[in-house]
Amino acid sequence: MTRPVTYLFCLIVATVAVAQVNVTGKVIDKESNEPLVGASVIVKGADGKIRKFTSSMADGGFAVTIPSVNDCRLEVNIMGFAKKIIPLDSVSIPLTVCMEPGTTLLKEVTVKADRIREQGDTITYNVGSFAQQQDRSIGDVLKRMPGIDVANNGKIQYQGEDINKFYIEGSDLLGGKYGIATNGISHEDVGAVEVMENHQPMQVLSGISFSDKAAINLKLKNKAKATWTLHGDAGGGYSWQPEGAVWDGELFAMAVMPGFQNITTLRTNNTGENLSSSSTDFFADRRQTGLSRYVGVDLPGVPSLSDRRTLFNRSFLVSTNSLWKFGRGEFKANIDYSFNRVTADASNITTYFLDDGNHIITENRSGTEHSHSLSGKFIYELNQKTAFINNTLQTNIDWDDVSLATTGSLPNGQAAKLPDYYVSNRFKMIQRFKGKHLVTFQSVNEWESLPQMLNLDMNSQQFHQHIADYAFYTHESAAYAFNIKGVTLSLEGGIKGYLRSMDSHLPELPEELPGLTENVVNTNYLTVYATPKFEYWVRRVNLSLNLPVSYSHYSFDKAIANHDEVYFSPSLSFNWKPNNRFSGTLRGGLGRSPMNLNLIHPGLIMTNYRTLKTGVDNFYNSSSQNVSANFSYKHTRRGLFANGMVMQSWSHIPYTMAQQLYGDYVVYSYVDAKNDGKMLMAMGNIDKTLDFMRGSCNVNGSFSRNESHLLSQQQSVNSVSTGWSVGGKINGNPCRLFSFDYRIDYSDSRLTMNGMSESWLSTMENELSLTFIPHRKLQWTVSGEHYRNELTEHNYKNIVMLDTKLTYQLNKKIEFATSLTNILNKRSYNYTTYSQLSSFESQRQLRGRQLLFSITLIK
Amino acid sequence: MFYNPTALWMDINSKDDAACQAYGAMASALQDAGRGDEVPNRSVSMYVFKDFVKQEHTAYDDYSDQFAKYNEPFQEMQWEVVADSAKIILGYECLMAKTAYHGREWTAWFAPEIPVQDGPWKFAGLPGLILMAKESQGMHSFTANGIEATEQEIPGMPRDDWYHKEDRKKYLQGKYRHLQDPFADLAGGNLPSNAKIFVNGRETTVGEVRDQFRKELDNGYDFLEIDYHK
Repeated sequence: MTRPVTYLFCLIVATVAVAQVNVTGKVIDKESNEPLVGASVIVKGADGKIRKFTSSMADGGFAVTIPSVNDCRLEVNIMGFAKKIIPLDSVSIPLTVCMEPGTTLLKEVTVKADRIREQGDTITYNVGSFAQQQDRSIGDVLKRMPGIDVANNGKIQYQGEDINKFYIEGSDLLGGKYGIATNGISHEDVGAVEVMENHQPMQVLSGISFSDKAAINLKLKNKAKATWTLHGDAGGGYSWQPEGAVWDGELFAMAVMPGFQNITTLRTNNTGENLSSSSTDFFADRRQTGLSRYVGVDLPGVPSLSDRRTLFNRSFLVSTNSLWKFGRGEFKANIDYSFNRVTADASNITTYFLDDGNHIITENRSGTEHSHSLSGKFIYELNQKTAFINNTLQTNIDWDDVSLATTGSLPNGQAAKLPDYYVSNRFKMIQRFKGKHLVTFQSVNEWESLPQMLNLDMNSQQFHQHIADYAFYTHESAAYAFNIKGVTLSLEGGIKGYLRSMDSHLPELPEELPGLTENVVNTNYLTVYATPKFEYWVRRVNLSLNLPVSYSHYSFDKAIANHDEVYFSPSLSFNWKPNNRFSGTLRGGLGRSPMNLNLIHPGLIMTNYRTLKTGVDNFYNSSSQNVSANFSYKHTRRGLFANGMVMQSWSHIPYTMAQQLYGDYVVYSYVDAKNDGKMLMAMGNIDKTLDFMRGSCNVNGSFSRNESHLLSQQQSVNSVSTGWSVGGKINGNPCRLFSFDYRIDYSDSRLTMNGMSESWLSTMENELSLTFIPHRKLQWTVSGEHYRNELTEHNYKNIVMLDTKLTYQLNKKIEFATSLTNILNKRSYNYTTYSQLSSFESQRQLRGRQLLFSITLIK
Repeated sequence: MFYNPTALWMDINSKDDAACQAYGAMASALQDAGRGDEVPNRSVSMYVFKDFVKQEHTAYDDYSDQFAKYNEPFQEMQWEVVADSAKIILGYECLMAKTAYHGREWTAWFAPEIPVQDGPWKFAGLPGLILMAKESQGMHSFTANGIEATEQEIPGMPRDDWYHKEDRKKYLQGKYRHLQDPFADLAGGNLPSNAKIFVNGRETTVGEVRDQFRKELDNGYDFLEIDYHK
């Protein structure tokens, strides 16, 4: 009986196999009866899914084979004809599909460039795809680009590292004062922002010396090239605090031509906008003259709110920058002048709760600072594959006058005049021979004078202190490097000389204070040094080892004993870049360094009305070690950028600052001590584009722990400060009518002394800005900030600030705006903290409500 | 037809002596102005002509002084539509399809609403225009970034006369060797590393170009088709 069953089974299988249906037919044009070639023929199931597909051949014929036609339908579609749908259940095959003319409307989508593109080491950001309606300058847009970070002071970082050059159309016009460009150039004039990773600015070193820094280049739109672009803003209005008229104006002119570039800008305001981001040189080398001010008369501190809430200013800035290309080199001149007048007031009220009634002590401080700064930089540079020459002549003149009146228990008036005169010339020449040999000569000369005058009016007595401080520094060096198959060996040798003289004079010293009133100090040194360097750079790996060794002779003209010292500070770095997306770096170094020579002065110097300082009586060296690791990752197509860093460092300083009270005076001095510090720092950052709403977002976090162990005069103090923070940002343009920006930052910190912990104190900041665009000529922004500062444990100070702005664009050249800031007119930042027997109240002023009308003209 | 507009423009102009001279003058002017990278060049010079009647395409490609063309039937690309996968590209609902083609695994997204069985490069044969195609290693991808109406006619092959028939795999083998040593055929292969050359209008050296090519190959770069490796 088994056999027939098997037969039956086979038969069923055969039937199923045979049940394949051949759907064949022909597609023709109904009007002309001509066959249609290239029509799309799709068989879809009842669920609408594609079962099979083909296209019609030259004779219009098609054929598809499907298991069953039940509930299936045939869809035939070709450009220029209406789509035909034929249910397959009830038709006879072969089919004739007659197509009737119809239009296939294509949704036209304008060609949009990718928001971020990557080619080799260059990442190109399309400016138009990141800009929002309310953005004005290119700096506003840079902040939205993932991977790029613009700090509050205007400094730009890429993947957590400072950039090393800022170019406009490939030319380095502004050097480190690129804030002029980021604040001034309209984003409408910039087509793309290019980030060049691992950028080596000196062409002679390309392929020889590795750079882990990136540079930024602005690619201008054609309309902004080979012509002058101009725009100006003028605004005026009224402020409730400081009461009176306010103004805000800007004029910006730029020419970018093949042989000549110029940017000239003029800005002025008294609306609380800090112009320092336009005048700070972010690439400035540390001045080797090493002078620093002894006198420290500072304006009262302001609450940790944004500058434009707390800055009472009158600011003016003018800057002109030119670049001429001639032959193969270029000449640049950067000249700028700025003026700033800042006022600040503060009151502290301490109430002691006593049995016989409350005892109240009030202290008011009111100060004004006038600062003028004039700087000029003149550069000649030749930057070629085989030769590099750069000569930079720089002068800076600053005048800083501070006056501060204090009332209260020690009423007094202080006035300080703090000018600074600085001149330097840096020359560098590198020549490359036969592709493998490099010879470098360098000469640096710097001179600085930092006189300081302090006038003090207290108890109807006049004190006057004058400090003269001059320094000259010279550094001459030569280096030879040899490169073979990715290995570079180099040796740099040179000599450094330093001459400094300082004298200070304090005519009358309050009676209770002991010590000398005069200083006549010379701190000079002569150093010879050699730096062997080894660099291995093959394919994806770079290893670099630096072994600087130096010998220095210090002479102090009897202030303290002369010294001879040898310093050795090796450092090692290793970079691994397995592909274009990931890069990791490990670094380590250790070394010994001399103390700050400014600390050498046997006599007392008054820093302000109640603090005096004396110097060290010994020469000290400190030592330190550090290791760090960082990584960066990017996936440009997904718009994802991430970076992270961990650093641990140790320092050992053989002295510490000691403080003694003499009546109302505090005297600081330095004593022998074993002062060991340990610092751990970690931070991370993730940026991502949000293409669905033309936006981007960021998440960041950091942690730091500072431990110091001080052993001084048998006293041991161990202090640990710990802090962490997290933050996030998001912006987008979800529909044509609306865009938004939101930011949140939260941080927490704590101090522990000898195992006793104080409580964690947090601060939180929220900032939200909403822009509505009801019409393409009209936009309305509402924005607000919320600050929540923890004063003592669980005691919070909350403050909310609201602003609004209405902009009307008459045409492409004229725009009108009205803004109302601090709508709620919050005029003060006051808080009170209590202890068992007293209360402390702090009062600070904020900028009040402000109404501003402005007009913008664009050429 | 798949082509690069700049390459087409240059190839058309190559027939016209006056246009050639004008191009030379413009190139040297831009070069002198330090804007050498703006000189138009044929950096993407591949053409693919698709014949939907014969169901085959003709590909034209070149490197150095080698110009090659070859025909391939559409059948070499066999698609499999992946059900249940949809994605919106440029406002069109696209369906996913996969194919293994000349050594690479491709995933494509096509728009059935646009009844054209075409796509970028050699891609064709899906019931809708291919708006995106990616290969599995993530090295190559094509993405449509816009759709524009144009009055322009689809051009013919401007310089068919430059190209000779060649076997595709043999041609790609030669092209890969060229990447390994781009100057092997010049000056007997003995060009010094510091010899100056102009690439796409930028002054550079032989050594630098070699290094750059080598770096790309080290990073695993390979062509769209990789079945030519023996």
